[in-house]
Amino acid sequence: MLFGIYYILLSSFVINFFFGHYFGKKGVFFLTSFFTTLSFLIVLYTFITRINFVVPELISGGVWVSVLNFSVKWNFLFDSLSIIMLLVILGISSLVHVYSIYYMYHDPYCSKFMCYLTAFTLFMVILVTSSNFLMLFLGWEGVGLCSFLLISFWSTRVQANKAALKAMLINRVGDYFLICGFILIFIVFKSVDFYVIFSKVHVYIYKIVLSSKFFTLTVIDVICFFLMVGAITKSAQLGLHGWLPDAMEAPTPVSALIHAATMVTAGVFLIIRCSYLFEFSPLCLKFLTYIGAFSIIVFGCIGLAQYDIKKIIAYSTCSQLGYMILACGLSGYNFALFHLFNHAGFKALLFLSAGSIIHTMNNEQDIRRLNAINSITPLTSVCFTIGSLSLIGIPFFSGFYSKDSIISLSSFYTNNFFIYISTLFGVILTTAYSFRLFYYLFIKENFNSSFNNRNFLKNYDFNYFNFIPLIILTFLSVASGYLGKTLFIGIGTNFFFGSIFSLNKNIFYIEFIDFKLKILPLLFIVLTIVFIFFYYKTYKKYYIDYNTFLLFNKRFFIDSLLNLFIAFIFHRNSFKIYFLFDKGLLEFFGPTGLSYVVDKIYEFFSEEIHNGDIGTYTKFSVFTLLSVMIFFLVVAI
Amino acid sequence: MTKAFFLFISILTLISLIFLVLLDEAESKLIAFLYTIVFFFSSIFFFFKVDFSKLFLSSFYIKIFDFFQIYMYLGIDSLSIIFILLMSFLFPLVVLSSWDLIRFNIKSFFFNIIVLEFILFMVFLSFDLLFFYVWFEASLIPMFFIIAIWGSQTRKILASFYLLGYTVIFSVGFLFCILYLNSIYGTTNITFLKTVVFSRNQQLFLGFFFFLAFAVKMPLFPFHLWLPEAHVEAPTPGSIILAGLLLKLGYFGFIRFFVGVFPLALEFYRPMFSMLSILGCIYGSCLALSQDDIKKTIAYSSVAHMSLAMLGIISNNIFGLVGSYLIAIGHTFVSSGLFALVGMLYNRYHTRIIDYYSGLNLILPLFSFMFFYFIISNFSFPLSLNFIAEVLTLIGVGFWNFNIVFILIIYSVLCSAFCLWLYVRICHGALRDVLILRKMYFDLSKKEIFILFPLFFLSLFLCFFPSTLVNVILFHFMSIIK
Repeated sequence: MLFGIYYILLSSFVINFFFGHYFGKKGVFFLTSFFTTLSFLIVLYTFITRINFVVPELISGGVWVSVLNFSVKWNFLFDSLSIIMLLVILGISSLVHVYSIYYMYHDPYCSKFMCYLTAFTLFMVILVTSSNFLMLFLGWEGVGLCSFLLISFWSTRVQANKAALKAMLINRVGDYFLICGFILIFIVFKSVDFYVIFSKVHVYIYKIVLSSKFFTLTVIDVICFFLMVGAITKSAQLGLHGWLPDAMEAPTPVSALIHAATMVTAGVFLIIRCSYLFEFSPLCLKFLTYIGAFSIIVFGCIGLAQYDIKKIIAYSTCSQLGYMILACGLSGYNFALFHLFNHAGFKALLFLSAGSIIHTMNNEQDIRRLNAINSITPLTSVCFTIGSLSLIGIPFFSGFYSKDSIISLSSFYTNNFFIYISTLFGVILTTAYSFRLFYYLFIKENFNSSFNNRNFLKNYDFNYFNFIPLIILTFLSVASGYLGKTLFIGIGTNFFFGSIFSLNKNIFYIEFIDFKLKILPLLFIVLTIVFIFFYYKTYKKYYIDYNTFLLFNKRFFIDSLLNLFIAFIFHRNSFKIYFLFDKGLLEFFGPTGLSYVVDKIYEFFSEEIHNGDIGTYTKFSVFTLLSVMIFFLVVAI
Repeated sequence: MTKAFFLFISILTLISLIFLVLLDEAESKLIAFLYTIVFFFSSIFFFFKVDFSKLFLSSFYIKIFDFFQIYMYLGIDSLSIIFILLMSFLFPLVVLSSWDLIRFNIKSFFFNIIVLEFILFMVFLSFDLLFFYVWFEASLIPMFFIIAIWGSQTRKILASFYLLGYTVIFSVGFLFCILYLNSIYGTTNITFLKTVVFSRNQQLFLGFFFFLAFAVKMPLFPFHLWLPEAHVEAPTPGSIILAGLLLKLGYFGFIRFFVGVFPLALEFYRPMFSMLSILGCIYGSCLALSQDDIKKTIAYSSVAHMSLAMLGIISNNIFGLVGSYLIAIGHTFVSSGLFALVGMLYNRYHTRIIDYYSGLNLILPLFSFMFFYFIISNFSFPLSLNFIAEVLTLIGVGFWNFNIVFILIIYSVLCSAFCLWLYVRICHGALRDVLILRKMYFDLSKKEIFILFPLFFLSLFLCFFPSTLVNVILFHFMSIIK
């Protein structure tokens, strides 16, 4: 029955893509939403009935590639990790499908849009249920492709095309690292199946490939490095993150599904899946911890200074993904997964309610013009507020349970205090940008733009297809933390036994943390809220330095620098290379030069013809003669 | 069986050529199409009649001159049957794509097409170096006329001479090597020469000139100048044949006459070969970024892909060989599809300059879908045969030298960059008025779908069932690795 979800999603895509125009707009909306919801219900049923036993199920579907010992089978792996991921993906996906009925109803290409969403869901399901690296890569690339198609969905917009190209190209870098990783895995382990690799890891722990005075690299380190670069590209961590904020050009349901809840968590999923490998590579774990910590701070700072509502939420996504990566680096894989689970709910809620606000306000995304909208879209505003509170980590909302445990976990990392500081600082930043957004949207009153011009569609957000997903997600972002805590990170939970592995020395019991440390994040939240309101009550032009603000607003100039030093170099110099080699050197020492030489020789021997064209055929025969002579010359030498 | 197949094809060619000459010009298309279709089905029949995964070689002699003791040694093994199938599959599509395109000298065009198909058939059948050389060079003659007569611009004469000149000049050494082998061993039969153990100096000497002849055809980095020229000037069917089949002759030559025959030469020249291939990969995809002509972009991407196939060959293990073989086949589907698509675009708007196009997915949705599929296949995306091919090649290269795999990241990213850039430039963006005002914005016709769909379907199908190709060839490759 579980295998049915592939057939359901595939048939949904194929039927609607090729025959969608026979059903009409409503038919396509209904069918795609129905099929996705059906597959979600199947997974939910399986989860509920099988929650008590954790034996993984391997469903085989025949051979894919088989060349000597490189044999890859269509084996789908259903263990506790992939079931949780399936719940997240299909749950959010079916809600977003329903929401798209509201959001995309008036688009002429909405059936194409729905098909892309379904295809994305299918690829994501293949990604999380794969039992070997090749299938994982199929899903990995497939979601990237659907992301490209959906970002450039409104293809007449230049910005959308630029963002789509950027997303695809940066992701190709990560994809290639992933290919390198699994080729190296195949070379070392002689297999690409997860279970074969994971059971053979201990043999290769001490196999050193590079050794110097400062550090030694084992082969596991190198493999994990390649996988890690792939993961941090997909999860938009510092350095390779540039595509995610730009991807906000996509329609908002896409941002909610792909760029907040599911696709960007694929990187975290990869690390969690390969926990058997990462556990034996302390170097990569350390690197992950630091990259997560830096991402939390940097993206929090950038989020503080943005004015586009979707970009703020996007940077918040990057920052929260930083928490997950950091938790992975501290070997708290189940913490990362728990945060992923909760984050999917409240971030999708934030995006969807932002989408309905944008839609109502006539496609206005700048928060300086979105003031006091709680009187226009009351229920959506409530949902947005609850999502924000959950994101901040106000106690007993869902974000609290996961984020607070990650902060507690990082307090055990005593090698460097910076990690703990950065997680706490991340809390401050999250609170700050959330309440800044809250202030702009709901409290600040600016009658010039939004009310006097009447550039909003009255009661436009009052639509069942809008409210059903929002209310379900609101419920989830209040309750999912409480419901899932025991399952994910409770003491002695064996739910992830077999699918997640951490060494004994890396396991910490956050329940026994000091009360002072436990209360610290809440204290920071309260202080930040007080500060933010104080700041905006006594508003002067710039409390913070203008240059600092510019640095944050221009995203630390990371994108510009990457463009300048990598993209432009290839793009500009390719033209120069073309003229230097293909139209220059190779022509000169090739046909053109030879032709010139033959002309000269011919002129030398024949006195009648001066400066005349000797004809191609003659020239050609002389070429052949010359080459014969050169051949004999070479042989003689 | 093999002899019967050969005789059948020869008689078929003869009869269709006679009919072509005798009958009216209007019927020449039909005769060419029937010929290619019958060829295709007979080769499929032959393929299923003989189990090539077990049969090593089915061969026979044809005595030509009794006086000089020259035998035409012909045969079919698992390597050649795949290429014969590929060729006979592609030629009906070529005839279809030239159906409305060729407006003058129709008879002689299809005469050339039929002759070219027969010549390529003979190339794949040859197990004798001398006759391989003869047919290898003979394939240039129809191609030369196709470019020089039915090309589009005045530069076409130059382009056809580039094609001819590069191949002929660089294969002069190949000819003398063949004569040298004949003078020493008294035969040029490759199945005999495979059993001979050449001395080191002999291998280095022979291997270098063999390499030159095939590298020009592949084409590898410094010998590739003819390819963009010829592609740009050739008519659409010419481009399809050139990219789909003539480039594969170089690959075929390497596998048949180099890999198992000169193992020491392969070992000795490996640094040079690998350097040229890596350069070709990166250089080809880098230059494709800077082109303004769609055909030139795709031609440079061919350079990059065939260089990657070359890397697979010189890695000299089973994964690399199988990978390069799949690249060669996948590249046939993809580049033929892309050239056919560019031809369709050219028929509508009469330009190939990228900058003039924009927003075509609003008016040509089917075209955009097909173009998108072939573009993503071109940068080895999953869902296309090229993906499996590239992964296997990289595994082969990785077993030999993992650093090269890491360097190729530049190739991979640049390749996806120019492919997506091309797609976004042509199919996305705001729609230009000019493209609508010409009133030529009808989507793909049924005939064009018939050309594209087989390529699309096979590339997709073989991605999920690559074993159908691999099982045929696996034993052959295992036998030639030393």
